[in-house]
Amino acid sequence: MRSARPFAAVLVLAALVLAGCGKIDREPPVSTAPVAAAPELTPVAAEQLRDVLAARRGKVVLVNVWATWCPPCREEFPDLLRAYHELQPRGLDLVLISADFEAQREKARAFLTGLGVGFPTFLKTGPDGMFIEALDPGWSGSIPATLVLGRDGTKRAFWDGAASYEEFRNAVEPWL
Amino acid sequence: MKTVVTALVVVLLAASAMALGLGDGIPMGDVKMKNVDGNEVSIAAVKGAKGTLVVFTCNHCPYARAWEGRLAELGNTFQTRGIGVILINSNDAAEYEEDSFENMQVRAAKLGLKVPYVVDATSDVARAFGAGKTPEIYLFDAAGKLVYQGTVDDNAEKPEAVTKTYLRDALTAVVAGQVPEVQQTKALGCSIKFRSKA
Repeated sequence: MRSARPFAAVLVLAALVLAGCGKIDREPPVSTAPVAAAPELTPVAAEQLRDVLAARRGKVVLVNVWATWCPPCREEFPDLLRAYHELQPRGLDLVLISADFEAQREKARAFLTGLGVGFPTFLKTGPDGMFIEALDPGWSGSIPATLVLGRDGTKRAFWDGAASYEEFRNAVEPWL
Repeated sequence: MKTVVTALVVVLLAASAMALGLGDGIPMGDVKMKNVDGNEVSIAAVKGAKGTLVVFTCNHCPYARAWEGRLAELGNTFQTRGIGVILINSNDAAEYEEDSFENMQVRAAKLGLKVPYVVDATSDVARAFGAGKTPEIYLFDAAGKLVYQGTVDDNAEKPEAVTKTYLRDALTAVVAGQVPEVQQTKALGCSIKFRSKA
Protein backbone atom coordinates (compact mmCIF):
# COMPACT_ATOMS: atom_id res chain seq x y z
CA MET A 1 0.00 0.00 0.00
CA ARG A 2 2.96 2.27 0.36
CA SER A 3 3.37 4.59 -2.54
CA ALA A 4 6.26 6.46 -4.08
CA ARG A 5 6.36 10.10 -3.03
CA PRO A 6 7.65 12.99 -5.13
CA PHE A 7 9.94 14.23 -2.44
CA ALA A 8 11.90 11.08 -3.07
CA ALA A 9 13.15 12.76 -6.21
CA VAL A 10 15.30 14.84 -3.92
CA LEU A 11 17.23 11.67 -3.28
CA VAL A 12 18.09 11.27 -6.93
CA LEU A 13 21.02 13.57 -6.75
CA ALA A 14 23.11 13.76 -3.66
CA ALA A 15 23.73 17.41 -4.19
CA LEU A 16 20.01 18.06 -4.17
CA VAL A 17 19.82 16.56 -0.73
CA LEU A 18 22.78 18.54 0.43
CA ALA A 19 21.32 21.73 -0.92
CA GLY A 20 17.92 21.02 0.60
CA CYS A 21 19.15 20.00 4.03
CA GLY A 22 22.30 22.00 4.49
CA LYS A 23 22.75 25.37 6.07
CA ILE A 24 20.37 27.31 3.92
CA ASP A 25 19.43 30.39 5.84
CA ARG A 26 21.64 32.81 4.02
CA GLU A 27 20.24 35.16 1.44
CA PRO A 28 21.54 34.94 -2.13
CA PRO A 29 23.90 37.67 -3.25
CA VAL A 30 22.03 40.78 -4.23
CA SER A 31 23.55 43.20 -6.67
CA THR A 32 24.12 46.74 -5.44
CA ALA A 33 23.94 48.12 -8.97
CA PRO A 34 20.74 50.01 -9.80
CA VAL A 35 18.28 47.69 -11.52
CA ALA A 36 14.84 48.11 -12.99
CA ALA A 37 12.02 46.81 -10.84
CA ALA A 38 10.80 43.34 -11.71
CA PRO A 39 7.43 43.33 -13.49
CA GLU A 40 4.29 42.82 -11.43
CA LEU A 41 3.71 39.15 -10.75
CA THR A 42 0.80 37.83 -12.79
CA PRO A 43 -1.71 35.69 -10.88
CA VAL A 44 -1.82 32.12 -12.15
CA ALA A 45 -4.16 29.35 -11.04
CA ALA A 46 -4.33 25.81 -12.38
CA GLU A 47 -6.54 26.84 -15.28
CA GLN A 48 -4.17 29.54 -16.49
CA LEU A 49 -1.08 27.44 -15.88
CA ARG A 50 -1.95 25.15 -18.75
CA ASP A 51 -2.26 28.14 -21.09
CA VAL A 52 0.97 29.69 -19.82
CA LEU A 53 2.85 26.50 -20.58
CA ALA A 54 1.09 25.82 -23.88
CA ALA A 55 2.10 29.29 -25.10
CA ARG A 56 5.74 28.25 -24.76
CA ARG A 57 5.55 25.22 -27.04
CA GLY A 58 8.58 25.08 -29.29
CA LYS A 59 10.92 25.96 -26.44
CA VAL A 60 12.34 23.88 -23.64
CA VAL A 61 10.66 25.21 -20.51
CA LEU A 62 11.99 25.24 -16.99
CA VAL A 63 9.19 25.86 -14.47
CA ASN A 64 10.21 26.71 -10.93
CA VAL A 65 7.85 27.16 -7.98
CA TRP A 66 9.45 29.15 -5.19
CA ALA A 67 8.67 31.50 -2.30
CA THR A 68 10.46 34.23 -0.42
CA TRP A 69 9.95 32.33 2.85
CA CYS A 70 11.57 29.18 1.46
CA PRO A 71 15.33 29.11 2.19
CA PRO A 72 16.16 26.33 -0.31
CA CYS A 73 14.29 28.33 -2.96
CA ARG A 74 16.30 31.44 -2.25
CA GLU A 75 19.46 29.39 -2.14
CA GLU A 76 19.03 27.87 -5.59
CA PHE A 77 17.78 31.01 -7.31
CA PRO A 78 21.14 32.40 -8.46
CA ASP A 79 22.08 29.02 -9.95
CA LEU A 80 18.70 28.74 -11.62
CA LEU A 81 19.03 32.18 -13.19
CA ARG A 82 22.61 31.54 -14.28
CA ALA A 83 21.62 28.34 -16.06
CA TYR A 84 18.66 30.11 -17.66
CA HIS A 85 20.66 33.08 -18.94
CA GLU A 86 23.33 30.82 -20.40
CA LEU A 87 20.90 28.49 -22.14
CA GLN A 88 18.24 30.98 -23.18
CA PRO A 89 19.95 31.60 -26.58
CA ARG A 90 19.61 27.88 -27.30
CA GLY A 91 15.85 27.93 -26.73
CA LEU A 92 15.32 27.69 -22.99
CA ASP A 93 12.44 29.56 -21.38
CA LEU A 94 11.95 30.06 -17.64
CA VAL A 95 8.61 30.27 -15.86
CA LEU A 96 8.95 31.46 -12.27
CA ILE A 97 5.90 30.96 -10.06
CA SER A 98 5.91 32.39 -6.55
CA ALA A 99 3.95 30.50 -3.92
CA ASP A 100 3.97 33.51 -1.64
CA PHE A 101 0.64 34.64 -0.30
CA GLU A 102 -0.95 37.72 -1.84
CA ALA A 103 0.19 39.78 1.15
CA GLN A 104 3.79 38.98 0.28
CA ARG A 105 3.47 39.96 -3.39
CA GLU A 106 5.67 43.04 -3.07
CA LYS A 107 8.25 41.14 -1.05
CA ALA A 108 8.44 38.59 -3.85
CA ARG A 109 8.78 41.34 -6.42
CA ALA A 110 11.56 42.99 -4.41
CA PHE A 111 13.41 39.69 -4.22
CA LEU A 112 13.16 39.28 -7.99
CA THR A 113 14.26 42.87 -8.53
CA GLY A 114 17.29 42.27 -6.32
CA LEU A 115 18.32 39.40 -8.56
CA GLY A 116 17.79 41.37 -11.73
CA VAL A 117 14.78 39.46 -12.97
CA GLY A 118 13.30 41.68 -15.64
CA PHE A 119 10.97 39.27 -17.38
CA PRO A 120 7.33 38.53 -16.42
CA THR A 121 6.79 36.06 -13.59
CA PHE A 122 3.77 34.64 -11.80
CA LEU A 123 2.07 34.38 -8.40
CA LYS A 124 0.17 31.19 -7.63
CA THR A 125 -3.48 31.66 -6.83
CA GLY A 126 -6.45 29.35 -6.43
CA PRO A 127 -6.69 25.97 -4.72
CA ASP A 128 -3.37 24.26 -4.04
CA GLY A 129 -4.64 20.80 -4.94
CA MET A 130 -5.67 21.79 -8.45
CA PHE A 131 -2.44 23.68 -8.99
CA ILE A 132 -0.36 20.69 -7.87
CA GLU A 133 -2.27 18.38 -10.18
CA ALA A 134 -1.83 20.79 -13.08
CA LEU A 135 1.92 21.11 -12.59
CA ASP A 136 2.70 17.48 -11.83
CA PRO A 137 0.27 14.95 -10.33
CA GLY A 138 3.12 13.25 -8.52
CA TRP A 139 4.18 16.40 -6.68
CA SER A 140 3.68 16.43 -2.90
CA GLY A 141 3.43 20.21 -2.79
CA SER A 142 6.82 20.74 -1.17
CA ILE A 143 8.84 23.62 -2.62
CA PRO A 144 11.05 24.44 -4.38
CA ALA A 145 9.68 22.36 -7.21
CA THR A 146 11.02 22.28 -10.75
CA LEU A 147 9.50 20.93 -13.93
CA VAL A 148 11.26 20.56 -17.28
CA LEU A 149 9.17 20.43 -20.44
CA GLY A 150 10.50 19.51 -23.86
CA ARG A 151 9.83 21.54 -26.98
CA ASP A 152 6.69 19.48 -27.58
CA GLY A 153 5.37 20.31 -24.11
CA THR A 154 5.91 16.86 -22.62
CA LYS A 155 7.41 16.42 -19.18
CA ARG A 156 11.11 15.58 -19.23
CA ALA A 157 11.95 15.91 -15.54
CA PHE A 158 10.42 16.92 -12.25
CA TRP A 159 11.79 17.18 -8.75
CA ASP A 160 11.17 18.95 -5.50
CA GLY A 161 14.04 20.18 -3.40
CA ALA A 162 16.84 22.54 -4.29
CA ALA A 163 19.24 22.02 -7.21
CA SER A 164 22.64 23.33 -8.21
CA TYR A 165 23.69 25.12 -11.37
CA GLU A 166 25.07 21.90 -12.82
CA GLU A 167 21.88 20.04 -12.03
CA PHE A 168 19.69 22.64 -13.71
CA ARG A 169 21.92 22.54 -16.79
CA ASN A 170 22.03 18.76 -16.86
CA ALA A 171 18.26 18.56 -16.59
CA VAL A 172 17.56 20.81 -19.59
CA GLU A 173 20.54 20.48 -21.95
CA PRO A 174 19.59 17.10 -23.44
CA TRP A 175 16.34 18.62 -24.70
CA LEU A 176 17.71 21.81 -26.23
CA MET B 1 20.30 11.31 -19.59
CA LYS B 2 19.30 7.66 -19.77
CA THR B 3 21.57 7.03 -16.80
CA VAL B 4 19.87 9.81 -14.86
CA VAL B 5 16.42 8.45 -15.69
CA THR B 6 17.48 4.96 -14.69
CA ALA B 7 18.84 6.30 -11.41
CA LEU B 8 15.58 8.17 -10.86
CA VAL B 9 13.54 5.00 -11.33
CA VAL B 10 15.81 3.03 -9.02
CA VAL B 11 15.67 5.64 -6.30
CA LEU B 12 11.92 6.07 -6.61
CA LEU B 13 11.48 2.33 -6.23
CA ALA B 14 13.72 2.38 -3.19
CA ALA B 15 11.85 5.33 -1.76
CA SER B 16 8.52 3.63 -2.34
CA ALA B 17 9.22 1.61 0.77
CA MET B 18 9.32 4.84 2.78
CA ALA B 19 6.03 6.58 2.16
CA LEU B 20 2.94 5.68 4.14
CA GLY B 21 -0.14 4.69 2.14
CA LEU B 22 -3.82 4.27 2.90
CA GLY B 23 -4.42 1.19 5.01
CA ASP B 24 -0.95 1.25 6.54
CA GLY B 25 -0.49 1.19 10.29
CA ILE B 26 1.23 3.73 12.52
CA PRO B 27 5.03 3.52 12.22
CA MET B 28 7.31 4.19 15.20
CA GLY B 29 4.28 4.47 17.47
CA ASP B 30 6.28 3.66 20.59
CA VAL B 31 8.98 6.27 20.12
CA LYS B 32 8.87 8.77 22.94
CA MET B 33 9.18 12.42 22.03
CA LYS B 34 9.54 15.45 24.27
CA ASN B 35 6.31 17.37 24.64
CA VAL B 36 6.14 21.11 25.27
CA ASP B 37 5.07 20.32 28.86
CA GLY B 38 8.39 18.53 29.40
CA ASN B 39 6.96 15.01 29.46
CA GLU B 40 7.85 12.25 27.02
CA VAL B 41 4.95 11.24 24.77
CA SER B 42 4.58 8.60 22.07
CA ILE B 43 1.96 8.30 19.35
CA ALA B 44 0.83 5.05 20.96
CA ALA B 45 0.31 6.85 24.25
CA VAL B 46 -2.13 9.34 22.74
CA LYS B 47 -3.94 6.83 20.53
CA GLY B 48 -7.68 7.44 20.70
CA ALA B 49 -10.51 4.94 21.01
CA LYS B 50 -11.97 6.12 17.70
CA GLY B 51 -8.85 7.20 15.86
CA THR B 52 -5.52 8.98 15.94
CA LEU B 53 -4.50 12.23 14.27
CA VAL B 54 -0.79 12.78 13.60
CA VAL B 55 0.24 16.18 12.26
CA PHE B 56 3.74 17.06 11.11
CA THR B 57 4.01 20.78 11.57
CA CYS B 58 6.42 23.44 12.78
CA ASN B 59 6.70 27.02 13.95
CA HIS B 60 8.45 28.75 11.08
CA CYS B 61 6.60 27.67 7.93
CA PRO B 62 4.10 30.25 6.64
CA TYR B 63 1.73 27.49 5.52
CA ALA B 64 1.91 25.80 8.92
CA ARG B 65 1.31 29.15 10.56
CA ALA B 66 -1.59 29.92 8.27
CA TRP B 67 -3.29 26.70 9.34
CA GLU B 68 -2.14 26.52 12.96
CA GLY B 69 -5.24 28.11 14.45
CA ARG B 70 -7.51 25.78 12.52
CA LEU B 71 -5.38 22.79 13.48
CA ALA B 72 -5.44 23.78 17.14
CA GLU B 73 -9.21 24.11 17.09
CA LEU B 74 -9.68 20.77 15.34
CA GLY B 75 -7.20 19.00 17.62
CA ASN B 76 -8.65 20.41 20.81
CA THR B 77 -12.20 19.66 19.68
CA PHE B 78 -11.77 16.15 18.34
CA GLN B 79 -9.58 15.09 21.23
CA THR B 80 -12.76 15.24 23.31
CA ARG B 81 -14.54 13.02 20.80
CA GLY B 82 -12.32 9.97 20.96
CA ILE B 83 -9.54 11.03 18.60
CA GLY B 84 -5.99 10.93 19.93
CA VAL B 85 -4.06 13.93 18.63
CA ILE B 86 -0.36 14.69 18.44
CA LEU B 87 1.51 17.49 16.64
CA ILE B 88 5.10 16.66 15.71
CA ASN B 89 7.90 19.06 14.83
CA SER B 90 10.62 17.16 12.92
CA ASN B 91 12.60 20.19 11.77
CA ASP B 92 16.22 20.62 12.76
CA ALA B 93 16.07 23.52 15.18
CA ALA B 94 19.75 24.15 14.54
CA GLU B 95 18.67 25.38 11.12
CA TYR B 96 15.62 27.29 12.33
CA GLU B 97 15.69 28.99 15.68
CA GLU B 98 11.94 29.49 15.40
CA ASP B 99 11.57 25.73 15.69
CA SER B 100 13.45 25.45 18.98
CA PHE B 101 11.79 23.67 21.89
CA GLU B 102 11.38 26.95 23.76
CA ASN B 103 9.68 28.56 20.79
CA MET B 104 7.44 25.51 20.44
CA GLN B 105 6.37 26.06 24.06
CA VAL B 106 5.58 29.68 23.29
CA ARG B 107 3.60 28.71 20.20
CA ALA B 108 1.65 26.01 22.01
CA ALA B 109 0.69 28.43 24.76
CA LYS B 110 -0.30 31.12 22.30
CA LEU B 111 -2.52 28.68 20.42
CA GLY B 112 -4.04 27.25 23.57
CA LEU B 113 -3.07 23.74 22.53
CA LYS B 114 -4.62 21.02 24.64
CA VAL B 115 -2.86 18.30 22.65
CA PRO B 116 0.82 17.33 22.68
CA TYR B 117 3.24 19.28 20.48
CA VAL B 118 6.40 17.20 20.48
CA VAL B 119 9.97 17.20 19.16
CA ASP B 120 10.98 14.47 16.72
CA ALA B 121 14.58 14.70 17.89
CA THR B 122 16.06 12.59 15.10
CA SER B 123 13.48 13.38 12.39
CA ASP B 124 13.14 9.60 12.12
CA VAL B 125 9.42 9.62 12.84
CA ALA B 126 8.87 11.90 9.86
CA ARG B 127 11.10 9.64 7.77
CA ALA B 128 9.10 6.59 8.86
CA PHE B 129 5.85 8.25 7.80
CA GLY B 130 7.36 9.48 4.56
CA ALA B 131 6.35 13.00 5.55
CA GLY B 132 8.14 15.54 3.39
CA LYS B 133 6.63 18.87 4.31
CA THR B 134 4.74 20.85 6.89
CA PRO B 135 1.94 20.74 7.55
CA GLU B 136 1.24 17.14 6.61
CA ILE B 137 -1.59 15.19 8.18
CA TYR B 138 -2.15 11.49 8.84
CA LEU B 139 -5.45 10.26 10.30
CA PHE B 140 -5.79 6.67 11.46
CA ASP B 141 -9.03 4.88 12.30
CA ALA B 142 -9.84 2.99 15.48
CA ALA B 143 -7.98 -0.04 14.15
CA GLY B 144 -4.89 2.08 13.55
CA LYS B 145 -5.13 2.04 9.75
CA LEU B 146 -4.42 5.17 7.73
CA VAL B 147 -7.69 6.51 6.33
CA TYR B 148 -6.80 10.11 5.49
CA GLN B 149 -3.57 11.79 4.44
CA GLY B 150 -3.06 15.32 3.24
CA THR B 151 -4.01 18.81 4.21
CA VAL B 152 -6.42 20.76 6.41
CA ASP B 153 -8.65 22.44 3.86
CA ASP B 154 -8.53 24.07 0.44
CA ASN B 155 -7.35 27.55 1.39
CA ALA B 156 -4.42 28.17 3.71
CA GLU B 157 -4.28 31.87 2.98
CA LYS B 158 -7.91 32.84 3.47
CA PRO B 159 -9.86 30.88 6.08
CA GLU B 160 -13.01 32.74 5.09
CA ALA B 161 -12.69 31.41 1.55
CA VAL B 162 -12.47 27.73 2.49
CA THR B 163 -14.92 25.59 0.58
CA LYS B 164 -13.54 22.11 1.36
CA THR B 165 -13.00 21.23 5.02
CA TYR B 166 -11.10 18.03 4.27
CA LEU B 167 -9.70 17.29 7.71
CA ARG B 168 -12.83 18.22 9.65
CA ASP B 169 -14.88 15.99 7.36
CA ALA B 170 -12.40 13.12 7.73
CA LEU B 171 -12.35 13.46 11.52
CA THR B 172 -16.13 13.54 11.64
CA ALA B 173 -16.30 10.38 9.55
CA VAL B 174 -13.76 8.54 11.70
CA VAL B 175 -15.56 9.50 14.90
CA ALA B 176 -18.69 8.00 13.33
CA GLY B 177 -16.77 4.84 12.47
CA GLN B 178 -16.90 5.58 8.77
CA VAL B 179 -14.28 5.85 6.04
CA PRO B 180 -13.72 9.48 4.97
CA GLU B 181 -15.21 10.30 1.59
CA VAL B 182 -12.03 12.11 0.56
CA GLN B 183 -8.94 10.21 1.72
CA GLN B 184 -6.05 11.99 0.08
CA THR B 185 -5.49 15.67 -0.58
CA LYS B 186 -2.53 17.88 -1.38
CA ALA B 187 -1.39 21.39 -0.61
CA LEU B 188 1.77 23.41 -0.81
CA GLY B 189 4.02 23.47 2.20
CA CYS B 190 7.56 23.81 3.51
CA SER B 191 9.96 20.94 3.13
CA ILE B 192 10.87 19.32 6.44
CA LYS B 193 14.41 20.23 7.43
CA PHE B 194 15.54 16.75 8.43
CA ARG B 195 18.25 16.31 11.00
CA SER B 196 21.33 14.69 9.53
CA LYS B 197 21.83 11.01 10.19
CA ALA B 198 24.83 10.39 12.43
